[in-house]
Amino acid sequence: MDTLRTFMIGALVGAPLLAWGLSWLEGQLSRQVLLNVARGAVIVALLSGCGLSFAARSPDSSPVEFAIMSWLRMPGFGVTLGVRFDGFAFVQTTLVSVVLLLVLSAWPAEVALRWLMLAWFGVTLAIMAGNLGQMFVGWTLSAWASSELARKPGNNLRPVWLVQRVSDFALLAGIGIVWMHFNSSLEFAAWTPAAIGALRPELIESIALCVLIGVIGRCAQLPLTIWLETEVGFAAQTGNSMMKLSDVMVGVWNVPDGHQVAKRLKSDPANRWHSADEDSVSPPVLAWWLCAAYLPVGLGLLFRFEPFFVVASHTRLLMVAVGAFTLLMCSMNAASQNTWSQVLGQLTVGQCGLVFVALGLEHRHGQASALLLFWWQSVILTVLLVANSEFRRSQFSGQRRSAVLLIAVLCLASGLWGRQAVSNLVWEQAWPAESVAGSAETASLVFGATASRLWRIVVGLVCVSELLVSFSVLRAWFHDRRQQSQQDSERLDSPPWGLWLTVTAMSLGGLWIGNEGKFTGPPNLFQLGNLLPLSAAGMVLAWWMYSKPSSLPEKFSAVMGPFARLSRNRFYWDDLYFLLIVHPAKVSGEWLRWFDERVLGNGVRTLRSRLLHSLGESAEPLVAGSAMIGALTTLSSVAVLAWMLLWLRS
Amino acid sequence: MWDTLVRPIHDHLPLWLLLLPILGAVIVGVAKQAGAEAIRRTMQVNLCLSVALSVWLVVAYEPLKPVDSAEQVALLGPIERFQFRDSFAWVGETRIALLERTRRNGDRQVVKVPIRWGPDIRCEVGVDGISIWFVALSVLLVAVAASSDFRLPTSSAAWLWLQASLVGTFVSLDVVLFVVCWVSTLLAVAWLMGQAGDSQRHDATPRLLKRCWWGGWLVMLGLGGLVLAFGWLRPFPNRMETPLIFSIPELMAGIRQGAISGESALLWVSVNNWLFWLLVVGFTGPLWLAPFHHGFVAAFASAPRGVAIVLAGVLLKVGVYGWLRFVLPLFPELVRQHGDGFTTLLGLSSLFAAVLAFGASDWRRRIALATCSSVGLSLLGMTTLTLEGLTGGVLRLLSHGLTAGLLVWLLPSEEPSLARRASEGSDAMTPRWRVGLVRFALFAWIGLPGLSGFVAEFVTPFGLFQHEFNAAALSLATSGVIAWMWVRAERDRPDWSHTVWSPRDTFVAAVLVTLNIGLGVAPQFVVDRMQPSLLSLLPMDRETSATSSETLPVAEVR
Repeated sequence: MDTLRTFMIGALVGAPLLAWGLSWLEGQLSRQVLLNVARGAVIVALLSGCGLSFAARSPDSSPVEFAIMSWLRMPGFGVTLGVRFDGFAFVQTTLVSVVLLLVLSAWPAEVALRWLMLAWFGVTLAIMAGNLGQMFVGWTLSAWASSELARKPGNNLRPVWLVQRVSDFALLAGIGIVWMHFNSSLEFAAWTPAAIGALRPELIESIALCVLIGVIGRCAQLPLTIWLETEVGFAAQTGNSMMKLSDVMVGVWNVPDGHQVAKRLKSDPANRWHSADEDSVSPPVLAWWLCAAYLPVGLGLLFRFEPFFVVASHTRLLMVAVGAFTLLMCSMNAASQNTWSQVLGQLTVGQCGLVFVALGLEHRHGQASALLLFWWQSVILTVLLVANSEFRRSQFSGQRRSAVLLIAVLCLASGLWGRQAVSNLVWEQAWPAESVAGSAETASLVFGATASRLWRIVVGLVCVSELLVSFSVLRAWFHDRRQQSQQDSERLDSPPWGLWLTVTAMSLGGLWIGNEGKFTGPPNLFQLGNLLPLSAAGMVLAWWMYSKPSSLPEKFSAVMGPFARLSRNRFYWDDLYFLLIVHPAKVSGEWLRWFDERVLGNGVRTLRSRLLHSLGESAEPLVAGSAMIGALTTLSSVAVLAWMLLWLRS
Repeated sequence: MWDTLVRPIHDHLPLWLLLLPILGAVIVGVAKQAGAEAIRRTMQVNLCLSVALSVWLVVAYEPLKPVDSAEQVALLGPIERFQFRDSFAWVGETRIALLERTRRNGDRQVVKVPIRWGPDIRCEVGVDGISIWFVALSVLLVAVAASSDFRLPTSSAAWLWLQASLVGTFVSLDVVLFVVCWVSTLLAVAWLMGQAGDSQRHDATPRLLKRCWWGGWLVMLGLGGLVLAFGWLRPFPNRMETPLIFSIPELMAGIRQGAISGESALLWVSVNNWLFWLLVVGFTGPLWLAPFHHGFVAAFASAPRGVAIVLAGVLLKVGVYGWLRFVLPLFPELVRQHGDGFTTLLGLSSLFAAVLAFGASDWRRRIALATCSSVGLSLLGMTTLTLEGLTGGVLRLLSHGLTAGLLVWLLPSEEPSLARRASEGSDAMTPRWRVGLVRFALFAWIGLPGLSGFVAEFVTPFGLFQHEFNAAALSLATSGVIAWMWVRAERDRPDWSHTVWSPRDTFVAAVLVTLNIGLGVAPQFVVDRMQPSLLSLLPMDRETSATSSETLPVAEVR
């Protein structure tokens, strides 16, 4: 059994590495061969993960750890590379494998496969890390390699890579504090309840806060949404921006073509908010980012640090606030997008915010529901994004495409049960029983607000977001149908059977989540509570506005415009980064170089010439550093020293 | 077979490494009439043999080899730190002294006893767990650097001379031999810089040499004073016959074991303060730490590619090696006494160099300034006098040698020979590969996990935080600025339009990349060989605490 287990671990870790190594032959081997090899590697990893979950199952459901090799041994510490596998890791690896298979089915030819394989290896490493160091390596590697996927040929600027360092530094700080207070140990096993209980509360809050900032950066939550790429800001215009951020996920100014407002905006040279489809990231890359690399790994980190978050009540409430406001912002942004990929991108990040809210709950089963919801939605969104990529290649068209998209909308709506489950728990948290309420009111204060008030605000935000989600999805469908009606539908291919199968499976999955992961019976539609009417209202609103040509969308755009622009004007992060960090560093570096060359360099030269002048020409060889003078000086110095020693000795 | 062929080489590996390039230089001098091809072949054979011997040396070194004789155990400890030793008398003599001895029955007897007399300067070589890595790095980088310059017989001989001098510097176990080899290294570099490089080299080379020679003279003064003071102040039955000890292991062992006692101890305390500062200034000056870095930056920017690799990769580190070989083991208390000042100054110097590198717009200047910063950080780790700091410092030196060598190798060269090759139109490497390799070198320098720089970046803070928070903060800030600088510099792609990529370039890049990855993935191979020697540098109290852990194999031996 041990041999089999070792083999499966090797397959799980080695499959991405093998695929990565082979992907360097891209251009020399047939692309189809490489894609098939990559798919084979993913399937091997998937099967190995499944086998490992059975083979490594421990009786008390505690994680099973395997040491692979000792990387470094020092007297004060040692680092052992190993694998830590539990149920959570199994689900994560399965999700990554499924998403990867879907993404590979529509991988664009212009994007290098090797970065995808390297990112897969990083994600696997982060999920199965045996210690914090390995986890950080996988975390950084996956972000770097994933961001390389968005690099355009001939473009030196990398959109995501630099911004991700914010989350890296925050996480590193958190790991540093853990290391300092857990006897220089990076092992997860050191986080015993007794060891955590021995820490000061502010230390636990600090660790949790650092980790939260790291996850916020990775999951594009407020206020670190900057890797949701914005348009060119002031810093970029002056040539000093850390990146030229494309606009695929934030969207464009939501004014339909032909509208007078659109004409005015586009004719204004000072207006930077124009469509930039040519800079956008392709939907399969987006699917990888959102559904396998950034968001799941970020949430996985929160789950790994759960022992700290359980105790860090203030940071947990901060996490709830961040998640709720991100959910609202992304839902509103989704309602102002014109393309499917942008809508789906915003919705995914918004759903991630909902999981933040759920992870802040005190109920453990609420967290499980939220994570299940997120995983299902990730697969659904991958299918939609990949299908959208296929649509772009005009494999489907006309009515067929509209039908598939309509089914996709319904499929997305299947997450309604999961959202409702989370919403019910949030409701319970906002209006708890009397005894619990009293303790919560006195215990927790966040920015002057009590915890229960915060939870009530969260309820409101979740409700508004639900309305906007259904509205934006249906609106996008109508928008897409309107665009399609203007095109000729010459080819009428049937959609792939796999898509139908996946849609069916995902719909059933949504129902399963609504029952908290149990097949205890048919879901009760009447338990949907408040979200169903809100969702229906959103759909009706979208139907009313977009089913027939009218001026309502333009008016709506005009109303939404300021908010969309406000929420999209996150470029100030870019500007702040440039103004507060990059620019001062450059100026100080250039100034110091001037100081170094002109002041110090000239100063030394002047001093030397003055010395020469004052000593006279006879000392010129000494100042010039003649070898003869140096040698004589050395010998005389040795003689003087010897004489001194003799004198002292006497 | 083993005894007749292999053992004579195996037991004298440092000596062979020292003699082989000298022999090669002689052959090159003879073969210059046979033409350039003969010289090239001679150089290649010599460099390949040297590399093979250095690899053998690293593999054959036994870090925990026990000492055989009881006398050596009493003098140098239970572990044979210096191995593969060879010693030949150079200056000094052994005289027969007549000692009068009284027997139990009261009879007096005169016996003849051999006594070393006068200055006992010897050609003594050997390696320990620290110097093997400097030897290996020197041989490797000189081989890399020399492979780009096989044109002139004189320059070929100079490369071999440089290799012999560098190896001699690191394997010498005698004070005089060390200084001679070090100064010889500078002469070889000056010769090579005079042969090639840009027009600024005529100004830059004298500046480089002057600083290094001043440092060398101060070191000579300090070590000479040390030898004299130790020889005269330690108790000995007959002071007139006291030999002057130039052997580095014996000096270290004697001073560490408190050989000077009684009345002389007070005198020694006042004298060693002066000697300490002479050595500190002498070894730190040639490190070109900011703000005294101008000469090195100018020389590095104007040097030909091969010399630049040796300058940044090895030569700059001789000063740090001097700290490891002399300052830290001989004056641990003084280092500890001034430790806070050293770490603060070194941290500020490194940060200053890093910020200057951030403002630089030329690749060579960036590398030179980042090198000054990296060397400062290495020394910063070592002055903490912790095992982690020392280990991290040496690992950083090794990592920097590999990454700086790779980076300089990849940069476009303005040398006429390489430009001529470009005009001949041989196979050009696609820029994508070069960009990827430059990026790899930068990531290795920054400390991407899995690459060589990461190990030092990971280990050093453990020692820094034990020592002082400010030092750790300065070190981390410097690493951050350097990383940021390289990330920004990566956008400023070098212009490779006038250079070509040959199979030799591929081979060199592959070797350096492999070593970078190897050091990042399996650092324990290096650390295991290094740690026993580093432990002997620690002050007694820290040495005891460092070896108390069960994780270190040295602890079991001790």
